[in-house]
Amino acid sequence: MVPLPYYFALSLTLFSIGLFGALTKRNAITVLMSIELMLNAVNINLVAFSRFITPQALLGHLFVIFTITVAAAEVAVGLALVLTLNRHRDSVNLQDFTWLRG
Amino acid sequence: MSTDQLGSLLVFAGLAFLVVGGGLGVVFFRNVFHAAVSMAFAFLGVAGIYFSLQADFLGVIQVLIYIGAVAVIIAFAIMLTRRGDMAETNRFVSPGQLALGALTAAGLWVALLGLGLSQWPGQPAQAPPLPAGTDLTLSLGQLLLSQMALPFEIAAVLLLVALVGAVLIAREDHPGQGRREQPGEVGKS
Repeated sequence: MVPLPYYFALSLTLFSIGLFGALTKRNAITVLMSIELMLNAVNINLVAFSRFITPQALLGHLFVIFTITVAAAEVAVGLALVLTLNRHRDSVNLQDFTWLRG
Repeated sequence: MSTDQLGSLLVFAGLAFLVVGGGLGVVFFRNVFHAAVSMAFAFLGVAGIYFSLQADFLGVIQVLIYIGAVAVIIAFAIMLTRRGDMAETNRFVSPGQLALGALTAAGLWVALLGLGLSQWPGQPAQAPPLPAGTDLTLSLGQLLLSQMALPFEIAAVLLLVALVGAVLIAREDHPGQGRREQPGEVGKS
């Protein structure tokens, strides 16, 4: 097994890619995908630290299970919102939704 | 470096290539469908990382939920919202905002990597070996249904609420009448 900093660096790289995508894409679906990438990056970190520091406590694994649950709920609701917006405004471009600013 | 370490390093490098390449594909493919397939590859790489960390159960549910459910539901959403020009569906924002976003992400990467690796406590460099006969999946299941039973049930309620909420949000406003026309729209179908 490679040392812990390798996993940390991989997780950080994936998180940065996800953050970049979430900040700079026009398509709402790509923004949702980028958020999923960030959640996965966090999960890698949780599992790696759990394995290296408390290999038998399994708290990191439990956190990952709950993160995956919340991520699945989030993607379902998020895509429902995107589909509704697409039906009403005929667009998935986030820059067409500036009226949500209030 | 022993052969064993070299082997695990090679496996990690391959998985990291899959994860980072898949992630970059999500951001840089111009066709949003290609981006979704690329995301599925990144998820596969993450599942491999879980297996390399001996988290077998998480690797399996990663494949089941992320590749089997999330990637498929995203593919559905792409098909339901598709445009005529699929090749241009995954564009960036304007150059100024793009530079700002890139700067933020790169800044976070450099700052956290520098901080993390310079302040690294030095131990544990190697993972402690698991005692023989340890069944992490068994202990995980026992933990979920004893000490963590309440969060487990709350997660179940959350999933139900999200499912009902998603159906409620996504359904048509006027069943039977099809899509509602907006005042500013002219003859779009």
